[in-house]
Amino acid sequence: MSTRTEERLSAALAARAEQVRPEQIRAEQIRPEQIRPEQIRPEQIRAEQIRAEQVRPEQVRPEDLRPVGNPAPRTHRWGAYALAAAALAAVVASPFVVEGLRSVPEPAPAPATQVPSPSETPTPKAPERAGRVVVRRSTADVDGDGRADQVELRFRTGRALPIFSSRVTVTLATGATSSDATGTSEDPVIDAARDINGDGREVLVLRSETGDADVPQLFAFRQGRIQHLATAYHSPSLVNSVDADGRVIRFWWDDQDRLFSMQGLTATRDNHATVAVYRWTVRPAPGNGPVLGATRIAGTRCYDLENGTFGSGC
Amino acid sequence: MKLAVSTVGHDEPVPHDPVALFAAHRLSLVRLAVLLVDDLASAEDVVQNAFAGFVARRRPLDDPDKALAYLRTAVVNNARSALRRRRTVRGYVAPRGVGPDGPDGRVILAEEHREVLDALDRLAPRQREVLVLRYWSEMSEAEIAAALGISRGSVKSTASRAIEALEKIMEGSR
Repeated sequence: MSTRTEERLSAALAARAEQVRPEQIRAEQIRPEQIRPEQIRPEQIRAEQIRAEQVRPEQVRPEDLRPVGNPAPRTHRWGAYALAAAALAAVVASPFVVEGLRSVPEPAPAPATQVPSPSETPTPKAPERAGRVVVRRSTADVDGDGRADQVELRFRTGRALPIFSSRVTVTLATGATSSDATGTSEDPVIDAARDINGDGREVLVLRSETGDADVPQLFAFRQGRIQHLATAYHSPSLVNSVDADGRVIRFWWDDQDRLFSMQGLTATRDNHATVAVYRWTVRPAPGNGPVLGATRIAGTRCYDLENGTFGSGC
Repeated sequence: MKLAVSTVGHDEPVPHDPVALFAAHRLSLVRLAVLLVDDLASAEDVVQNAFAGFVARRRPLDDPDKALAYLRTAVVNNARSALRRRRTVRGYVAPRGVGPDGPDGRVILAEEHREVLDALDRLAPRQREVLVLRYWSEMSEAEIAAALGISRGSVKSTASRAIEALEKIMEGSR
């Protein structure tokens, strides 16, 4: 290994890094009062607040850097949707079979073909307004009035790194519109609309490739607007795995569109685990909009990891 | 989710509070990111993402002293994702190789440094990550292994091959 090359490399890296000077980056991009964990929820993080303008370092002034809006609950959030939603990724994207769940409200296998999904229609890019194009259109009854509402995914064009630049917009049958940032960057897709609360209001399930994950996100129309739901990624009931190894999370929808997850409690004998089952619903969270909340279903179940079924092998 | 909590240790105390972490380490993390993604705006995005993910955790880290290691790992992962998005996102042409007029300020770097950085751009992402963590972040092989989720042996071999490749590229460009 060449010491000379290593020295040159170290010097070059240091020189390049030193070009980033403290005054060039926004000191208040994360405001202290906003990033205290006890004061913030992932769903409050709004994507648009982390945008940056491409600038030359030598031209950067504090006022040139990305605008930081006031993250009031109704108008601004922060931008970690992709990370916060990643827990749902593995799950909704990978259907699996659940059988034999007796006292649980029947979280049945949910192959994609059986799931009522909106009539998504890939739409040719058509300019809606400067800098945005509609990339997907679909319909769903998001407000539960029995009439189809229009759903659009819009993508901001012309950005060098279009992180978090897509938005979901719903146009109700009444003509009212509402939108929210999706926190995804490429090829967002309206995957499904599900009435997980059983109240007639369908929750939108969006997917978008973000990094390595095919990340689904859930949006609900509540309080007169479409809103990104908390995915409860950091909920203990979700972060634990089905086989207690800390890696696998299982979600599924039943044939009534109810959303369930399971949490591994103990791994027992070969390919079996004792699990707890949770049902997820959209709940109001005063001041913070709707959230996904989990209710544990009484008792535990024995889950066959190999066959994806509930049974009695534990 | 590839974001993993690394096992990097530190000689100096690392603040546990996200606010203090942000104040103390954001600049160094942006500098790390800019070496991985090339432009300041993307680097800020990458670091912002890392902090957003960090503060969004509902469960504290098992070892609060590893917060900085967690953030470094997140920066590396987010930088990798950002580069991947560049390659795939519609209509976007990656700025790599745009030369000294690119938006990254290299125009004001010495020619010697530009040559090295241009060669660095041509390495595989993993090689680039290893070299940046090794020669700028000055992390040990064990720390790099933890941050990247690979073995120490892989770190060693990757670094060795990356240096060789770097030399060959620079020789070839003369």
